[in-house]
Amino acid sequence: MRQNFDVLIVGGGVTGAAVGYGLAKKGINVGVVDATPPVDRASRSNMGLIWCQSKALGNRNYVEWCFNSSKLFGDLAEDLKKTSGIDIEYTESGGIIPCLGEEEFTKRSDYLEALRKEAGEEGYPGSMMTREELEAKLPNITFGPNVTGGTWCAEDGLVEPLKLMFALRHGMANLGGTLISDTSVIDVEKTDSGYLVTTDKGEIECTRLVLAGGLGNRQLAGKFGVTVPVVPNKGQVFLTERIPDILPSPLLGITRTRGGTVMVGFEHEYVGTDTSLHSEKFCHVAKWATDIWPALADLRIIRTWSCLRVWPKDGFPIYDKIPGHENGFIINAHSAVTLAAVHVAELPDFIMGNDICNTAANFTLSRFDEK
Amino acid sequence: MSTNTSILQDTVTIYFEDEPLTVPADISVAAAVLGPGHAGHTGKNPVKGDNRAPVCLMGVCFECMMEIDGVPNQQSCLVTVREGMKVKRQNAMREKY
Repeated sequence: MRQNFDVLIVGGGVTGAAVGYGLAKKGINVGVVDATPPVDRASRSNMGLIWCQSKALGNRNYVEWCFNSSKLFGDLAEDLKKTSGIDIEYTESGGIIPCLGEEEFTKRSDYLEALRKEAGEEGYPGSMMTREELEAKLPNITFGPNVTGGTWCAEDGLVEPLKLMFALRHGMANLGGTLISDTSVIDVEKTDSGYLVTTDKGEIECTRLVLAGGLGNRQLAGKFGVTVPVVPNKGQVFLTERIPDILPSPLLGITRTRGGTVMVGFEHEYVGTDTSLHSEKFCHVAKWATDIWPALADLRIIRTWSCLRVWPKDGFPIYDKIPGHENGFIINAHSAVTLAAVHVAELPDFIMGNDICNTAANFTLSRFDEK
Repeated sequence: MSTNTSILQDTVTIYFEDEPLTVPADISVAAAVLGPGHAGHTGKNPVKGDNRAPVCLMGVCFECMMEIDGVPNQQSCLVTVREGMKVKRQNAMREKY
């Protein structure tokens, strides 16, 4: 017998699971299909930052979208505790971007001012800290001699990203949704009444189809002749041995996990689907990190890994209908973790046929069309 | 009297918390202190401060950190015993980094 859903989401990473969770909360008969590795699994490889500050000058809607999501995270965490039994370890940690040298400090300060100007009356929650203020905030860290200060934004936060993903999945299932794991989608086709999805475990029918397969959306949308402009953006990370809780707020690129390990990495590389590790990149990152925080040099590295970020070509998310389809959707987001809370809140109505809210109305596929 | 170390294997003497300990040569420090010299724990968890001892014995878990020949924070499962080696529990909790 074929399974049948009102909404079938292809992709059970943070984004697909967030949309599935939101739909299940509304009582929609939703299924989420998640593939068996090897597939690119960005949701399982990231730092868990909810990062809003100091980005996207020139796209005020995206800035608002991120801050909106951050504001919703506390409630989402409480809600997930009840529906899934999982604590996603959300902390209103705030976030810091450390600066090396006077020039970097001035540049960062100017960038924040430009964001503040763009925000106008609504105001902008990021500000600069002097070195002394930074030291007062993190009194057990001895910063390198060239650290001139950094930014501060109270609205940045931190979650345990794996727990976020599993909480969304379990919560969805507990609310009546269906997680179909270890199942790879082979084909998708439009039928008179909806969609027929062929997997390696059988066929699934659905009225509405959501493609939330990260980089895999390129192949999935390709079945409908649609090109999705997302590219792999490689990051490399290393993880140190455990230290006490002396870094309650992440330094962008240096995050202490709740378990005590320190995750370091920040680089973006466009090298296709190559996930091999390159020591010279690690050296570059480690040099930067130890210039900021020299004691890191004494810590042992436990693990290193690389993964591919899902990167829409302009860095902003995509929420749109598959061109020519009324009930088929393409969802792609970098910042799946940051945006998870707003995805839970806002995307289900969009999938069920309503207009998306104004803030997200420009995150269409057509913005990539060549003029 | 145990005979399992003496017949076929060379031995070395290390000092665990200043007490001499004769163990098979070529084994790891973690294996040595888990054996006859093992007395409860080898160090403290740097986050919570509770007692810890070697677990994985293959360099992954970082539960076996000890001070070896005066150098703190060594993975004792990855260090081979040597004649005269001085091994101590890692009990100090570091507060500043």
